[in-house]
Amino acid sequence: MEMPFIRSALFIPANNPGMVQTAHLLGSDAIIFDLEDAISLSQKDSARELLNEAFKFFKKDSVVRIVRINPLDSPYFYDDINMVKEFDIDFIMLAKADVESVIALENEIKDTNIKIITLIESASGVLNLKDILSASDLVSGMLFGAEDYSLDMQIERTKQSDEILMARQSIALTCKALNKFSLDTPFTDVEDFEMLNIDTKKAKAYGFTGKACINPRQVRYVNAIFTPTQKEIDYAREVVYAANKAKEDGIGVFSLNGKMVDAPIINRSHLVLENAKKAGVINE
Amino acid sequence: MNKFDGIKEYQFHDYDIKNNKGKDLNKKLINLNELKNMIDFKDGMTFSFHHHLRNGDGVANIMFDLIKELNLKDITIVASSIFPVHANMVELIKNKNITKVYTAYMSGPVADCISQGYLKDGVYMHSHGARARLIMEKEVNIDVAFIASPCVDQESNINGSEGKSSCGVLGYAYADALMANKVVAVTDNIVNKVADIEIDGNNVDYVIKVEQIGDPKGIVSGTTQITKDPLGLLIAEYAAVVIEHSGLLKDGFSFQTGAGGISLAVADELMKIMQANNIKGSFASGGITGYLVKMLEANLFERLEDVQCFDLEATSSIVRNKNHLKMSASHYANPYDKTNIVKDLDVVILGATEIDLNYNVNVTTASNGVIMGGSGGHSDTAAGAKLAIIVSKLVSSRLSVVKDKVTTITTPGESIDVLVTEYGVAINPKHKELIEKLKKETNLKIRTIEELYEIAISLTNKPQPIKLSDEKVGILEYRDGTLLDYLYKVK
Repeated sequence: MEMPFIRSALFIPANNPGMVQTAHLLGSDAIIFDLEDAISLSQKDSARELLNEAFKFFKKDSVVRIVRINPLDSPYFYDDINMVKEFDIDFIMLAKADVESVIALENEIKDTNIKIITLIESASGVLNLKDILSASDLVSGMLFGAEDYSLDMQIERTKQSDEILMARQSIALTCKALNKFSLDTPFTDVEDFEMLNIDTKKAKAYGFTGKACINPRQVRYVNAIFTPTQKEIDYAREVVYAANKAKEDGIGVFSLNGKMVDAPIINRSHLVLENAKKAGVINE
Repeated sequence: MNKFDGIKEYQFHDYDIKNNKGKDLNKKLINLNELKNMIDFKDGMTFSFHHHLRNGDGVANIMFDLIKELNLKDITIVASSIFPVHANMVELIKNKNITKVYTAYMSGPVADCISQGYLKDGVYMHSHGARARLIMEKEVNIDVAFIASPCVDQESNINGSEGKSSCGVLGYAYADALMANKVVAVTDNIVNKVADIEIDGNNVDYVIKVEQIGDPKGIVSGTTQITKDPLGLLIAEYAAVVIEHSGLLKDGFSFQTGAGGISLAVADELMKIMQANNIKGSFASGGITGYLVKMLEANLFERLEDVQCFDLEATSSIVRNKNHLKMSASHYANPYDKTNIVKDLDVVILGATEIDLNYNVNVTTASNGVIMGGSGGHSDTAAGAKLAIIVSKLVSSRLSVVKDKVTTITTPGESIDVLVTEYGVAINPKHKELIEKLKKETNLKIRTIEELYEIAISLTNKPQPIKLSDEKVGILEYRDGTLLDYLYKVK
């Protein structure tokens, strides 16, 4: 499966016409139109209807489209799916995902092109990562929801996020092992960009492929950190050039600047260049 | 016959050959009742006031009360701007006490009243620079200038930056003080000596002390704020990219931006770029905000050229920072003033209520034709700057900013270079090199203005044109006094 290029995924409340209409302009690689937490119980129907009208109007563009639906144990799960599966979207994000709800969702959308992103936001979710990710071939990636996870764990949520370290690393690790993309939990203080930077750098270091944002002003910071740096690009170019030369010369493993280069490093270098291209920082 | 015949011989005389009015405050300090006897107020006179006290101004209302009390008729008002606080003018306009108005900007009840056709001889709207030209070139003769003065000293010198009603600088009032037949300073603060002289006491005829010349809350806002609207921030980011790649952003760079939320966000973006690239500009000008003060203090500009302070940071900086300079409206933007600084601007950031396919901009009327603004320094800076950038949302309140034709031309399209919106950037086709450069060097969505118009119309549909009456209520003059457009009575 080809990984979608999602450095940033921006939550947009589906009941706000102005935001729904202009969300694609805000620079995030993906938009998550939210029918769940951002929408009060009295507005679930109207948000769904608004999204329905908006998708009649939207033209397909380069932004990845995701709709977060309400969980299986809510009264809105099937109503959400019945409408959302008609939309021209890339993913449905399943709140409070577990094996049962993933299978229920798969049954409803298997005749469409829509894939699934699972939202992990409980202790049992973290414990069953592999099973949830493997519950359906439609599952392509995962988002970590640290706020609900912390509530479930009855632990204090802090900006430093030491309390969610194990969960984050488990999610990034499991996704990587199963070739799924992983999106880190959003940073909830929308005025603290310094800590957002630190938090996003941590997510990247753990192996997440991107991060969710809850405010448009967070997008540029998150994009910047998940965009390959010039240093990474330069090194990747060197590796690819040397690898091509080695191939021509019939050499398998070779050294570059005194360090051994083998297939994983070459593959990673190709990925860096591909991502740099998708991010628009290189042309070729 | 000797060619030098006829020249009178020198004799001692004690009159002032420079027509100085003397400086001693004690000889000029009078009350309002005495003023009525000192000046021969009569019908048909021209009075002026400045707008540095903005919507906190109390002095123009003293003048309006005087017109009403004396029942003067056919009075012309020359105001740098008119705000809602000047609502007392409405009654005077309707009663034909005031029959003609010159101004660079107006909003509120007076603007509504004039749009409804009550002003007998009409309104002449111009730019700030044009106002200085009109006065300095004696195209308009002011009989009495009423100058709200935050501080007056014992030599009747005036400045705007001291006292409880401080507004920072009085740049728009200098021309009035120099050229009016009679100058009346109205103050709530008399000191021994002003720290710096903005208006020399020699130009002042009378000083009137009142309890309060204005409401400090309306004079300057606490802090002008950057927009938090994500689309506004996006537009600012795009505008900064345009500037960065324009070739103008280098040592010696000069810049002006307004106090609007998006404009301030551009300044904020620019600050980051200038710091990262170690660029030191020459000057930033115009109405000055805390953001430009911050840039001065970060050593990103050598000086600020300030004609008007917009916030408390600016009024405070102008007192303490020797590189924060006061300037007159004439030095700012008078096209006939050879020292005018707008001609030296590299980049100006401006707003627009409407912009059309020929890049003409309207900041004077709403789309229903009602006056709700005016040029201020818009057409001056656009004409002077090498790059005049309009920043605006393409669609706001379900209306497109791009029109096939603007309701009113405030600034001609030939002086507008770039339009930056959330849907992309349109560049005046005369800048072919810049278009290619930005396409090559940036990820900006470069579109034609026609494409932006099409996008907007696809979102809003094409609105029905609003019909205005044929009755003209005013004109828009360009900086050189030529006719740009008419203002029409609203139905």
